[in-house]
Amino acid sequence: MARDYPGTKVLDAYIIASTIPRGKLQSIQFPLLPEGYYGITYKDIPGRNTLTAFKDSRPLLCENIISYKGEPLAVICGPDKQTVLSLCRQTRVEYETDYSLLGFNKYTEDQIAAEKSFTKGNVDKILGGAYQTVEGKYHVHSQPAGFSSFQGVIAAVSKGIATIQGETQWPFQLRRCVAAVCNFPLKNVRVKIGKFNPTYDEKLVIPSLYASLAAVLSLKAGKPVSLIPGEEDHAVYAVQRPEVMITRLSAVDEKGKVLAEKAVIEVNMGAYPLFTDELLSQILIGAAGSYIIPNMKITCRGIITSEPPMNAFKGLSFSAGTFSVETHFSRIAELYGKTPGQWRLSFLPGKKAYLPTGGILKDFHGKTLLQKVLDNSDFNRKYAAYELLRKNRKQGPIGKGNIRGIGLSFGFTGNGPTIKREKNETYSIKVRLDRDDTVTILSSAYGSQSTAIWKETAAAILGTDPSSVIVQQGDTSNLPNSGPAFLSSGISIITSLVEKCCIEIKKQRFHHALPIVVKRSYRMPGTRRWDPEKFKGLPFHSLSWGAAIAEIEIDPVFLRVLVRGIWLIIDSGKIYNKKIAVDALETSILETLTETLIKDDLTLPSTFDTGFNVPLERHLPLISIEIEETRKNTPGGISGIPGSLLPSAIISAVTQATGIYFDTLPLTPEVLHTHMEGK
Amino acid sequence: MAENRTGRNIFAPKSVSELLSIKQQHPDTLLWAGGTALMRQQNIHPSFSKDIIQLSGIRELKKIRRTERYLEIGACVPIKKILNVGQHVLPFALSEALRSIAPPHIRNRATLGGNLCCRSRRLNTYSVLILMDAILEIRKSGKSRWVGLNRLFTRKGKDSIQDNEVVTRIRIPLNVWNLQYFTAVGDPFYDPFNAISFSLLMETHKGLISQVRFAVGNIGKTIVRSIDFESYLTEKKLKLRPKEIDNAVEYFKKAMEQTEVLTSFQKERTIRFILWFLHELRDYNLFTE
Amino acid sequence: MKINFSLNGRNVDVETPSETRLSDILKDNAKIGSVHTACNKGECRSCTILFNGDAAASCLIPAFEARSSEIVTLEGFSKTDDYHDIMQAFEETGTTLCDLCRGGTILTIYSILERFAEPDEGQILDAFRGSICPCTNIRIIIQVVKKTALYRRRKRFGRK
Repeated sequence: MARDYPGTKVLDAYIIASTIPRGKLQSIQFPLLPEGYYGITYKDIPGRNTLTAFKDSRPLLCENIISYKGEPLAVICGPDKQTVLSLCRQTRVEYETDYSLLGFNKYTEDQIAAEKSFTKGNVDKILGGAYQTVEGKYHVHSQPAGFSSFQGVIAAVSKGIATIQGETQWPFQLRRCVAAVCNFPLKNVRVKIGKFNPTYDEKLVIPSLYASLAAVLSLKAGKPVSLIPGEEDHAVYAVQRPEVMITRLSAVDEKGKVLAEKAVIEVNMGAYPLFTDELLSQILIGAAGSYIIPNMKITCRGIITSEPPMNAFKGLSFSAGTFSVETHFSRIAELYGKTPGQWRLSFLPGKKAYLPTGGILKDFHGKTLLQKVLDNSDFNRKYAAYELLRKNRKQGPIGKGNIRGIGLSFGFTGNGPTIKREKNETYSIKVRLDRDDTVTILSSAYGSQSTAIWKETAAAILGTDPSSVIVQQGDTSNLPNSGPAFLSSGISIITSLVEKCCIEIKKQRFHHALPIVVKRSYRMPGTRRWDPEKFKGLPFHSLSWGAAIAEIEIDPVFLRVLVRGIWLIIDSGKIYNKKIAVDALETSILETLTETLIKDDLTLPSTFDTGFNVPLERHLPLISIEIEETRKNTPGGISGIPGSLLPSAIISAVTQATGIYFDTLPLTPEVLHTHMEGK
Repeated sequence: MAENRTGRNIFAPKSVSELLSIKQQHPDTLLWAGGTALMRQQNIHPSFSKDIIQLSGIRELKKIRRTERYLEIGACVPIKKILNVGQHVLPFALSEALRSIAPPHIRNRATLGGNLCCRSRRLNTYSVLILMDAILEIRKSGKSRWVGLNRLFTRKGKDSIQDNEVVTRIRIPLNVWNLQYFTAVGDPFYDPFNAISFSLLMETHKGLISQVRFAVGNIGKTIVRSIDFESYLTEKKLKLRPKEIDNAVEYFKKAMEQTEVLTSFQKERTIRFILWFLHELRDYNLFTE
Repeated sequence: MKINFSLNGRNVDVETPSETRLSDILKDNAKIGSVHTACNKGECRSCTILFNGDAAASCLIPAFEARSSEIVTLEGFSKTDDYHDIMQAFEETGTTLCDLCRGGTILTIYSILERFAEPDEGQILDAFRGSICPCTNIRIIIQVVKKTALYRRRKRFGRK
């Protein structure tokens, strides 16, 4: 992080975090702080001691009740980093420990933070008279991010104005948070927006927490303060995937058609749920799937536990829902002696399609996508061959080489959020055409892939070269609020806005004097299109569709799943740059393989195994990607698709290879062993 | 909570004799070779508050010598340098063990001595070098002794090096093993209940196993080896019959039960590995290909 | 303790506790922008430097080990021809690295090419074991390494 405060010493700050998971904070006693060193607790916060995201909030610094190990308690800053660290270690914290931790497996009603449900038809009646019922329990374990690219923030408060510098996905939320914490008017807080490094969504709200604390310290010290993630406050800045447990019960007729589906989803939100409404909606919509099921009842609960907060991790767990529905339906297909491809082709909607929530899908080509990926991978032949191999396998697998399987999954990911937002929280951008024909895009959202796409979009509409399009960087005082940069909003919503602005500029171009500035905002759809309360309509700004096939081998000695080939086909609407799209998909595929197979704890160092997104083999799997562009209008996000579809394809492939049902993510060798031993 | 880290002495000897005299005067010092394992645990390692002897300046500890009968490696030779010695000189199983330690940017600094002398766990090279009958030169001021690697640590994991002693050289006999294998999965520091390594050396002659050595490592403060298992397989004809394989497995199971250090998953992996290699065993150089 | 080392060709004196990680010294004292700290376990490569000519994780090097050493970071390396070869290969593959991993990825690629004139996939995978930043993927890196190797061979032995 650049430290552009010439002539002023930036003070270093570190957080003191709780060392117990639950209890009461009795007292915090700083050691004697040398001159120039400052410490703060919640009592020193001049404004509100809260961090807000959408409708949820959590305390910045613990006031009384400690809810998880690693909860921030106090912060110390000073000119020498080592002294600050030493002072942090010498700080005396007294707790009254509460040993009754809030668990996830057995929770009480008080632990339910929120509940959402979606009902259509009469599920109980159909289940009662069903030809056959199929039950499944699917478990997605919590997974911490491998490392955090969050490098901290610098806050400088001077003459009642706070300037914040640091990477964030949501600069305007950070501004609101700092203003509320410091008791400043909004206009007195400036957030400098720069390039930011890729993220697992840890830069959505964590920078707001760090910035607010740094701003309070800076206010006290009268100097700029840099608050950097320390080795000991990993639980504060690292994000982790929420643990999700999904129980499904399906009523199936003689032909294998699912007539009714009942599902209960429980989500471990950790100590402080944030984004609860959005997260539960996303999982619920994911779990509803994309097949025509006349009766459905899905309940989704967010559970508060004594673990560090879990919320956004590469999106909002939509993939957990898709994983459960696709794995479950592959199981139903197998029970009815159909190949997963056949089953899906029979029960996918045709051209006049709609989602389970009722939203009408224009230009839906699901069956075409599915058929293409089946053909590309030679799925049916391989599936039949591996079935035969498994059935004919008489002896144990050891000494007979690796065993093989192939799996399929189909589904969609949504672009943009589903819940209604407050008026002041919208997506806006401006585009300016200058006299020298330079096009400038002003947006607070930033991402290297999306900015490249915006440039190409603007250049294509205005008939200029992408190199003469600039994405202006600045701060919250001169850039429009482009909302939080997550859930593919940069590619889908902002690109649409760039398109609209440029079309308007094109209209005005020879009628008005230059420069022309056009501002466009994204309006959340009205309740006719999507009603979040009743769960009716089309929930997202746009949908990206895909089908994935995974061919795997199992090494019977080390019980490792080795991925031999991945076939992916996607239709996410308009693709501006195929090269960028394919690279992004490949990256996402390789990451998903690691997250699905290698480790249950991504924080473990991987120096012994091959690492984070390199699968365990010495050679990479074959990856075949095909991009369909049947819908030429709306661009949609693509990198979430592998994460949603591949896990269930891999699990289905492993199920085929072994003849044992798997239902847990990640599928580590230990899980494989436990299931194979029938434990 | 915090230890006072000011006033620590860092000694930087330039020769072994200087090193030995410092160690004689300050026996409670921490020897710093590559430091890669120590730095990964900087916040938790208890020895980190001690005075330090920095070994990187001692040239004598960074030498590799090869004779017809053995390979002699200085304790502070970086793993990278050993691997550069070449595939034809370095026994295959050892080079695999060294390669599996870490990616090159860590291997550039990690040393063989550090890997062998790690107190908290027996790491990758330990089990391979034990099978190879490696011996260590341990020196103190005015004295030196050669000790078999198998005597470096007791069964309970306590080392037999006195406070004023230093491991200076590792001597590896260059016996001709026509079957060699090493593989490791998992990180023994961070994933101790699942991590495991297998080292195997075998000599076959005219379709008979003339000598076999097998060890399970990366499992904590000890390794698992079964003399019964090894002697049962000796003089057996290849390819092994199913009954012989079952018997051999039973011998190793007994050894695992006696040591009580393996988790059930590690045991399962071990059994599977033994079954696999005994099934695959033929009278040719299968594993070194 | 006082330490002195050569950083990108110039002498640097720093006063710091002996166990401070070199990555912190480079970031905080020497204000090197290409060195980051994300994992402090030698995993993420965001702190990779050339330490006495070899790629090394600077978070695993304590201050006292850095005495009298020769350190090259991306800032120094970017003045070399090798850097331009690697960047040319990245441009041709249409990939931009993020700030966090740029230094580590480029210096690791350089160190592979210093060891192998024509590295194969296994050698590249070995060097990139551990974490890879989500801004790129190993397939692109393999392409870049192979392309750069080709440029280097062309420069040395004429067009082939």
